[in-house]
Amino acid sequence: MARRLPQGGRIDRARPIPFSFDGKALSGFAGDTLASALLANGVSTVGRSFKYHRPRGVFGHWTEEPNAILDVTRDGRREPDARATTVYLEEGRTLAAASVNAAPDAERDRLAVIDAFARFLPAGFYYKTFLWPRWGLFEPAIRAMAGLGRLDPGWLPAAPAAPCNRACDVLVVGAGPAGLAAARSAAEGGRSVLLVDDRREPGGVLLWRGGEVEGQAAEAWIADTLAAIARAGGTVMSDTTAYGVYDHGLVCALQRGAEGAPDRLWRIRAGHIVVAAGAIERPLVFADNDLPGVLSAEAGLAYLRQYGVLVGERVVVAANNDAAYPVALALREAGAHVSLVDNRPAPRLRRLAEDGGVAVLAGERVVRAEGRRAVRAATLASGARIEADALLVSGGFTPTAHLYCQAKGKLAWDDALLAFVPGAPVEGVSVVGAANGVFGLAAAVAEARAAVAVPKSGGAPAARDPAALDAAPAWPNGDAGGRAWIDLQSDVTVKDVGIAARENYASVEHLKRYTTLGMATDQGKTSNVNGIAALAAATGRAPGEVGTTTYRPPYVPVPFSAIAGLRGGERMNPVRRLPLEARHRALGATLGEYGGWLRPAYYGPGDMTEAVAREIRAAREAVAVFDASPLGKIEVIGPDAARFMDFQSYMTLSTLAPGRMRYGFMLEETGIVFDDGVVSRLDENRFRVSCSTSHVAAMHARFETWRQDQFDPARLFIHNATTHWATLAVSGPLSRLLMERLSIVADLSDAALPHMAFVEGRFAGGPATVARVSFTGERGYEVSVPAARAAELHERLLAAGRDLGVAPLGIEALMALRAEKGFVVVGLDTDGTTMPHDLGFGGPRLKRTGDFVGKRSLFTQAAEAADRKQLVGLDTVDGAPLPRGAHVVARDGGRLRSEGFVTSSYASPALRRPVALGLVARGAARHGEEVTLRHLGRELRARLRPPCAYDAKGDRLNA
Amino acid sequence: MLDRGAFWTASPLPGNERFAARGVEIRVVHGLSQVLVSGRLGGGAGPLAGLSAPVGFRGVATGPRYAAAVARDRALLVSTAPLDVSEGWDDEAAVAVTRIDDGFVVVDIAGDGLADLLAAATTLPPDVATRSASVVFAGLPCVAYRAGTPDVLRLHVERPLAAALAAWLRSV
Repeated sequence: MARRLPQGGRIDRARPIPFSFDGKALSGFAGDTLASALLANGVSTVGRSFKYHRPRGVFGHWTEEPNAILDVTRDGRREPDARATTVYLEEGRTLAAASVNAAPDAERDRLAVIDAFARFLPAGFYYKTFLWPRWGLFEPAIRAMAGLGRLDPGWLPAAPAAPCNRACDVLVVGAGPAGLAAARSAAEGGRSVLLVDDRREPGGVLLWRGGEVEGQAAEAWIADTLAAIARAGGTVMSDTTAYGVYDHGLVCALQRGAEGAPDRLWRIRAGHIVVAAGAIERPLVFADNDLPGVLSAEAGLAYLRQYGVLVGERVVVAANNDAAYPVALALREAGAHVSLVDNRPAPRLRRLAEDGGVAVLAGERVVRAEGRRAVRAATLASGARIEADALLVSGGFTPTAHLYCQAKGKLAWDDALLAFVPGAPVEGVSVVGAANGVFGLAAAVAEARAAVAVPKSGGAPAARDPAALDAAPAWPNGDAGGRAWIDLQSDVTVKDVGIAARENYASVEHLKRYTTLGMATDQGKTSNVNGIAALAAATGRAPGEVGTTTYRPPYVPVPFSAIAGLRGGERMNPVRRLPLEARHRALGATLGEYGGWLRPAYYGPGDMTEAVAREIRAAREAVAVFDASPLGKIEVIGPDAARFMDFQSYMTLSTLAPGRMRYGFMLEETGIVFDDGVVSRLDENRFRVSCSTSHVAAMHARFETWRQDQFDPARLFIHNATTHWATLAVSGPLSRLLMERLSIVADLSDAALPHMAFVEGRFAGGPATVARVSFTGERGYEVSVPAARAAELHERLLAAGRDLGVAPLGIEALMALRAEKGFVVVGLDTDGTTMPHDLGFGGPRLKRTGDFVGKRSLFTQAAEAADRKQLVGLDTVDGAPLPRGAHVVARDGGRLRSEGFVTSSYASPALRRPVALGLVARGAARHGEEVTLRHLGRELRARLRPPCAYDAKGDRLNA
Repeated sequence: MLDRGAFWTASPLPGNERFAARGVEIRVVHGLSQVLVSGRLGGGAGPLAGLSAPVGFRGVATGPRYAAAVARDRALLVSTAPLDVSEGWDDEAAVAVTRIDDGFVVVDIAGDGLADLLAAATTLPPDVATRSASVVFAGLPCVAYRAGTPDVLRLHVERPLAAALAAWLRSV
């Protein structure tokens, strides 16, 4: 069993830190990870495997860890699926860890019985079993059992951190010996250097392997190198994982917040990226190699040297390479009884190991780990059995070249190294050290220095030397008995790979999806290459022929909270605010989000239906004031403005006289209605387009695109003046009376200002534009003033209109008023097929000469089809409102067929009945027809009519 | 219907505001005239007559009247005094002119924390020159340059988005 040694390690024994695991109180030290502290306390089972609920213990020592996935609660916040090997104990912060996928806990999991049925649950079982009578019966139970960890729905970051942007000449990823050497060389060469490392302390493998670098002891070399980097102006960021390379050399890195500080996302643009991310040790694969007590050899050494934890008293080290020998010797020196099982018949370090007290069994291999809840012995191929409470495995090393691959680098199989290594260079990216398959320390350091001596990618040829590890093949044996685990986190065995191969999932990408090998949160860091080798053996290929799956960011799980940064709550998708928001709030408006703006839905307390009815009556019988400020005001200016407007618009606009306005549409090139609105002509060379609130940005972009593409940009300019103006719409039979009380310096008489005309004048000493235009069907004026004067105008209107019964008008009432008139809202009463002639505006299509956007699409077969959906009004037969989305249906043989649907539906106090608009096939020719509608299982009846239900002649516009 | 007015903090800007955040002081600047001018900006005529070339993001605008580059052929003319301009097309100067005085809220940001703030607010590298003053700052489209000295960042943000800018500055 693992235990803490009385001395040693880089922990601070003067600072004990209590914590708990599955309710048991335990203790560790400052500098401990949760994993090292669990091992030190003799905890062997830390979780249950994903599918079969097998007991699992700590395997690795850093991000490659597949088993020790725990829910960690700190300061009352639960973080699900934390990797125990990367969670540090911190003083003053209570940490409670809980196993996942186990009930009640990892030690006593009730669902361990599932393992007895493992033969019915191989890879891909859900494609073949639980199908009768139907999958849906079993799915909820299986889904409830699947998954790891529990989300805390109340979790919020204590204080979010804004992502930060950073630029540098050279970004070095990894502060091991190669990374440190590269960073120093680049910094001393005068370049701006950023060195990021995912551990708390720079040094990488030197922290537990020690040794000598460039003639210095490792510790001293690390310190000297860091000091040199600092002197040369370089920056070192620890606890920071570069997790992704994106387009144009953007690297994203997650900086973990210490002591409760929030995690922060860094977006780094580097001229040159040096990947010095090291390599990850591969397990050896044999029967029951998933028992607690089986760890990677590298982890065994790291726990000893970094945390003072001896992983076992009787240790078997199983290996195929030289890197395992210092591990065996270190554990022997720490007091363990160590046997080293080496599959190579004549390992060159044998004598060294035996001189150090390690028993070496050469030409042998472990075929089974024995034990029930933890390892008790190792069985060898010869039949020999060695008692052990820890079995360390070293099957070679896999370069951590993920960032190179994300940058579109292609890996190549190296038969001598038994690893996938970076292939052709990628512009702007260098891979050095173990990440590049250079496993010798001196060679790695020299290579790293050379890589940054050349600014761009490539640099000196790689100094890969198979002799550095002298590894021999030791791939999974598909014919061996027992259950041999390849992917510990996804519970995938060698047999599962065989099943996939037999079922012709011969591509490595199919293998991954079919078996889920490599799909868990460890992303196959310890399993991918063994899986590829197993598939290669099963399909008669070499690993290099099988290849790897596609590498995608992130390299480690990244919390969404770090990516979101400050963009939570109201900072996530900020709405635009009205200049009069404070006044609307003061008037008791209920605010809603409309088209990206925060706007009044209705005013006053109480029931919304009553409030809306009240506002509708005010608009129809007296006068109402609506804040129309968000309506677009895009100016088109220049000698070609008129020609441009004719090209953009469905209606002819060049014939519009200054001071006049025209309603019309802008079409897509497909002929579909893009937006509607009113265009004003200010002078010969200047138009103002009032487009829908939600289309302002799109309209501006559309105009700018056509301006630059089809017109002389020196004779035509687009200015978006929307935010400069506040606009208040005054509407109702008493609107003219109210306007006269405003003291606007302008001739507002009907003669000077007929419907669809505007004048420019002055209000309170500043400019004002008054337009006669109406969306309600009543006499209406739109008064526009600079936004800073909006409050004054609004105050004046409400005060001056008090005796007239003036009321503020919200959007909900306005929507009902315009529906009574049959006025469309694009995107609500139109869909992705609606053309202007479907809305009753067929004239320009037939009469206009000259080209305009969308013209030719108006004459396609589809555009001229007889059964196109056309805008209609609908009246219910029984007086009940029609639900929006209800379909008008017809019977076609034995089935119902949709002929269209209801697009808008409101109560109408003016008409004392509901009104609705819809798009119905051949609607224009079917006025008076009674139709059937279906909605959520209900059948309704309605009569089709023209869209306008109120004042069809438009007399009230001039009332 | 859900009242979303409770979710959105009542709009705090503009006002006579100064507030501190992350090592900087933020001050709303009132009383500036702002005009969009597009066209032949170097022509030496029209509203930009007598001015130096429009400043970009790292440029320092000096004097009571200056221009910031919004696009290749568009500038934002800014003045501490009212500007007497004719809106529309100026045929002689070959420029289009639109008043936008109330369209932008203007804030000045200064302090030791400015570099850090910029690292959080924009993706622009600190030492790369750029001709344009149009930037995305805190996720919002802005016009930004230095005002008077390199130590003062001046931001023009669309009035409807001023509240969003304030919310970001307060939480950064």
